Amino acid sequence: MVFNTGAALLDAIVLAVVYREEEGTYGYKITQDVRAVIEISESTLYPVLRRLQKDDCLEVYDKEFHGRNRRYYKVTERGRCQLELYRQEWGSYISKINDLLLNNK
Amino acid sequence: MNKKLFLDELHRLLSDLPPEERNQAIKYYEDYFEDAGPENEQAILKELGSPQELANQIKATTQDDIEYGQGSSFHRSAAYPEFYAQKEQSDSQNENNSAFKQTNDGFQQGHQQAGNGFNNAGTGYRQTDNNFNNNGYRQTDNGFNNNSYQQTDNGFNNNSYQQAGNGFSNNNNYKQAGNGFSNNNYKQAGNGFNNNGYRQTGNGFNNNSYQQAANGYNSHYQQQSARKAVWIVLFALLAITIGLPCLSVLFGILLTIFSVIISIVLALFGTGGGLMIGGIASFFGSFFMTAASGTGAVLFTMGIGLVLFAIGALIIWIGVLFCIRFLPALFQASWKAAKSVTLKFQQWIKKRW
Repeated sequence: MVFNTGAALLDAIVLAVVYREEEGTYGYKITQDVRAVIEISESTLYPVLRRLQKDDCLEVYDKEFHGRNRRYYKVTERGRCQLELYRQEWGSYISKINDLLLNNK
Repeated sequence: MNKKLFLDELHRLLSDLPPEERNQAIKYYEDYFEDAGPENEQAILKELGSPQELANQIKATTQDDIEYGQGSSFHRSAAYPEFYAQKEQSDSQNENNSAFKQTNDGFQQGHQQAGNGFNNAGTGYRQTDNNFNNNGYRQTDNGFNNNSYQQTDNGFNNNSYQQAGNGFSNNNNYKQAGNGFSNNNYKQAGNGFNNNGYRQTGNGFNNNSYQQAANGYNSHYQQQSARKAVWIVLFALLAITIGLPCLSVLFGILLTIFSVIISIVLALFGTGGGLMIGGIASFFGSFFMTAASGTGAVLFTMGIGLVLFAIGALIIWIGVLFCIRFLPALFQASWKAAKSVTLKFQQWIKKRW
């Protein structure tokens, strides 16, 4: 991995991954989905999820699964707005860089 | 090292955190091991590093406003020790061996292969075909500016959550717009334009009503004009079927009355006239009677003639009186009756209308 993934981008990626599931998803699955996109350590995600939860972008609920309570994360309304913001920001950010890196020989 | 030892140690190291924070963290990693399954336990342990490292990381981020620095989100030595070890040796060789995947004609190292795609940043999850600006999570066929979650067929500016089939500017709606333009409603618009209603429009234009408009333009909530039409038809029918016979009856009655009057008059005059003539004839006839009939007979005949004449004159006098006095009165009375009936009829009609 050449380019580092900063905190904001990580937030955006995690929000986007969780948002794909309408009813929310759980920690292990979130990590797997994010790792399909970028290389991160399995210890990285928990602090991100925790921070997003504190910022009210994610909400948690427990749901029974095979006799134990599994914790699910779900995007809140505020989280959805934040994600939309990230999307737009990313769009303009990446297009400028692409212009520079890919088009200039 | 196993899962139980790791978590126990982690629990101990987080003891200076608030109980809520600590329990949440432990639960998260407990679930994590559970969901990964026992077969992945060792791999995860390797990834997580030592309990101390993880505890430090957790404690660091429980504070506010943590800024991730360069590479602190990436656990280098645990994940890819071989690469970083090698890199330190090859610095002089100036070799960029931090690539992990092979690229085929890819200008940027993405995690998926870019087939003729431009602007396929590494954040794309799917392959792009001739796409521009694909920020979506799904494949777009000839899609431009696809921010949606679903596939668009020839969709432009699709911000909706459902598929837009040939839709243009399909914003904010939750259902599919089939050939719909500016569909802001919640139900499917079949060939609808500007459908702000809540029901389906079949080829409707400007349908703001709440009912279905089948080929309707500006349909109303009720069909009020129809009501009046029904009443008019009913009334006409009634008038014809009932009115006509009634009128005929009335006419017949009137005719009868006239005939009676005429016959009375005729009878009176006729009788009177006849009697008078008979009387005169008798009177003058008496003169032609022979002496042989006797004076009495002659006088009798003369007398009868006079009497008949008188009675006749009287009857005629009655007839004249009848014509002069009675008939006009009768005419006036019936005329008044007819007028009042007509008036009442007019009033009744006015009420209904």
